[in-house]
Amino acid sequence: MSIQRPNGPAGSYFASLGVSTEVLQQVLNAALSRGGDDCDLYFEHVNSTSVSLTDGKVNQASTHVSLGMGVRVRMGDQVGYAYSEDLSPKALQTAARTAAGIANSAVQRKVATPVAIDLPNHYPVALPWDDVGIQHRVELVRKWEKAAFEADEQVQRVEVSLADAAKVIMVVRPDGRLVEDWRPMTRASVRCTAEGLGADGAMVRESSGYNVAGRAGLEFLDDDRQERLVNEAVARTVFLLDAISPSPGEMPVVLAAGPSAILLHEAIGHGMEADFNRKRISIYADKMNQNIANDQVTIVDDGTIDGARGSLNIDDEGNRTERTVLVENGILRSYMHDELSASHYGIKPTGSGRRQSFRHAPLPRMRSTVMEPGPHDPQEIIESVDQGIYCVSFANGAVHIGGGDFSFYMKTGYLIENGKLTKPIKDVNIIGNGPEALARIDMVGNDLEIDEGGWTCGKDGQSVPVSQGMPTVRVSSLVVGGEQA
Amino acid sequence: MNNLNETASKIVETAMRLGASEVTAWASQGTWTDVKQRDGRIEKWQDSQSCSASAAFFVNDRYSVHSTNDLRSDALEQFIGRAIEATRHLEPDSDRRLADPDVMGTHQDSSLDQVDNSPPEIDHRTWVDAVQTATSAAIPKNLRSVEGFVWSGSSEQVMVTSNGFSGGTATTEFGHGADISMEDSDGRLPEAADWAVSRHHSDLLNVERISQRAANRAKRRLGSGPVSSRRGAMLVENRVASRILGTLVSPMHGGSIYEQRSCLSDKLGKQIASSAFSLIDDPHIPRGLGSRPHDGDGRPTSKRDLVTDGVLQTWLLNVYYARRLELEPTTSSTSNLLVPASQHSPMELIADLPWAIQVDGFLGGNSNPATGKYSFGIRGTLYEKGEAVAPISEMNITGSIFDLLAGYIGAANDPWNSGSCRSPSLLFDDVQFSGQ
Repeated sequence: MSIQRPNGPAGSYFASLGVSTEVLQQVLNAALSRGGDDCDLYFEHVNSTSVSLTDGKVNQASTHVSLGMGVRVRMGDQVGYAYSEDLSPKALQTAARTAAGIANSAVQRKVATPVAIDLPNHYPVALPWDDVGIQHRVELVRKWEKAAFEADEQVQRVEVSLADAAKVIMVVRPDGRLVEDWRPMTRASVRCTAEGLGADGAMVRESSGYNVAGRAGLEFLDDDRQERLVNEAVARTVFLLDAISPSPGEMPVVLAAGPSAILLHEAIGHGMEADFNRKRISIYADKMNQNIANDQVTIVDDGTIDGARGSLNIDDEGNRTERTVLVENGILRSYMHDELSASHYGIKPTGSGRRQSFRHAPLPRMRSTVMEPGPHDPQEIIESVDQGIYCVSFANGAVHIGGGDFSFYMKTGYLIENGKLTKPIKDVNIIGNGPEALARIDMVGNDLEIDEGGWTCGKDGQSVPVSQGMPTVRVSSLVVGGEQA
Repeated sequence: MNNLNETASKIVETAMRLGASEVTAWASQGTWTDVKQRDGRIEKWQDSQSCSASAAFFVNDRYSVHSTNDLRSDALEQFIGRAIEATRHLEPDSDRRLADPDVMGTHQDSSLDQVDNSPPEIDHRTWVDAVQTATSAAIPKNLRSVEGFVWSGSSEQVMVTSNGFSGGTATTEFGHGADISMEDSDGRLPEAADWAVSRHHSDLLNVERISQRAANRAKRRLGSGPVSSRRGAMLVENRVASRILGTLVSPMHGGSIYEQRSCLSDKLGKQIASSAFSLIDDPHIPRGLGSRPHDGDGRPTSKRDLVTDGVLQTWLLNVYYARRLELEPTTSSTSNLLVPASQHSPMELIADLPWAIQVDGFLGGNSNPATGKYSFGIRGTLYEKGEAVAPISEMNITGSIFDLLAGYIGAANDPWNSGSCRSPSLLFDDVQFSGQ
């Protein structure tokens, strides 16, 4: 039960739901009826399915369908937004006239005939989910449960879920642009509860897990990934049993390759979204072309990585995605722009305009945020620290984009003592200030890894899927939570 | 409401015709206007109207949940048919069935008063301008930017089950507030926000007071930073106390208990907090933002003690998890959370302490429901003998929820009423802060 990749020309998918070229032109005209500078129509049809296992049974399934169109009208930096869940011409025009209310000018822009644009394909799918019955999903979930119990006898409970989704979107603009994109997603999660001896010798119970996600079909779950999904879920849970809390305070922090890029996402990513800079409320607002990090540090936000959860063939405003260099050898080079901020700055958008659904106006958002590899061997980085911590996995993060203070929650890691990884540690929040933390990245490893986890980014009440990646790095000092032993 | 009843009833009917043994259907609709104005100009105006439906299907002891907003007749029928077919491929679980009709029903008291039937005519343009202008005017220096925001809306939801339950709720909501960015001397642009929400327009904190409150909050953010790591008193401001209480409530849920990943699974009837601490769930507060006449299982709601004098009284058990655990159901989730207030203002509570950190915001962090350990980033103010001495940021608090609650001293007189967690400011002792 998934939406197939449409095989007709762009525009035909929604045309089959009654949205003809003629209707599109009428709606665009209604949106510009009060003289807005520009507008966009965003059509969306989503279908998702999930199955989950608890307590030894695959006993819950869910499906979700969402269909509608959002219309945005722009007048300078001002935005009018409305949406309709009914795709009848009348309902679409009513929404368009509502959004048009933001504008008030006698000059009405001419609407060009929509012409479909070809897109690249950053998410080739070999085994689409619409060919896969619920029974096959049930078998996969069962298999992972069995493997998790077999992997470690301390595992007491296993919960598994497998979700797939596909959406078809269409963006139509008054300049004649019409783009249609089909966006698949696959996500799998295994969660374990384990019982065993804690660091103090008493029995303890812990629960944790692992999840993977990508813009792909069933082929995403190849044998290697399935094995890693289960093994990581079990290992990360059992790891917690005898892990301790580090001592609190400021210390050097080494971040392992991969998911540690949550640091980039929070410490700099959000602050580089151009809406905050257009409004002059980001801590990076006045720092363009200035040196903000060690020259080993290059950070990009890339919408074009094949199969990545954060990738897009086209953004939600109908602009090409790209690989945007945010920081080049320590120098701030570009913000991430949507249409609104790009026109404010008089430059081309970077294809970063994204939205949660047709119910939301687009904003500049991250796609896959990645730090390029540097010169150091990861082992050399660990050995360089006398007393500090090494962070392996993370739960979540947050940032204040103006004050610049950001934090991320370390789920698992190790103490570093005299250049060696020693005791396992868990469950501490780490906090710092974005520009300060960037300036304190003083060693960058040569082991870049793009994380395969199912990260979701929230901003202004909107969630979008993102990816991130990083090599091993050393931050000379951050404030680490923890308890005095 | 009639349309919604029709939609929900139609889903129940169609699903029963297509082979479901039992069905719960929900239908909801809402209408909202949100307007933001930054530094004198409207930034965004959004009008929303939405309608959607969801359903739980029980097919020969098998269970699935579904949602859609595609309510066209043929699309809906096809959607239900496929959903029921898919449900047949799951594994049976005989505890997945509706609640018994004799325990279903709705709290009949109309005093929940969730709808403002006679709100004034609202001009969002004038309203947002008033909020933003008043806030900007209240900050004579170090101001970078102010965004005022206002919203109003109404929503309705109905729930219908195949065994005869039918219930409906309707609410209205009004809210306004401001996001402020300040200019710090070192180039940082610390932000602050404040807002108020109410079910009835006449209850909304007036523009002058909300803008003043937001402005005062913003001024306190200048020059913040970490102080040294320490252990001691923490005063958690009312509006962010939900973060602490949520850490306690999350492991109370039946799912966590049943799956054995709750630190409260062996704590029923036991002392889990200082005897000064009590926590109550009250779904019947007139005009309360979390008030509701029935729960997700279609059972009438009632007021419930969760923790009394430090002793855990109950878990949050919906009908399914109660069956699994062979216990009586309580309720699926909390409604309005209350902590008894005192006569003392927050500042009176800390006036005699050598030092205390007042936390007025959390930044990230998380908790582990299996162990009760938490670690959160914080913002706030360091007080010494009741005097504010330093604005705080970039610090963490870390510990166990049990140790935190054991150190609970008492509440202030300021219950928060712009949310469903109506906690006053809470004072704890012996909290581990990490900083410089």
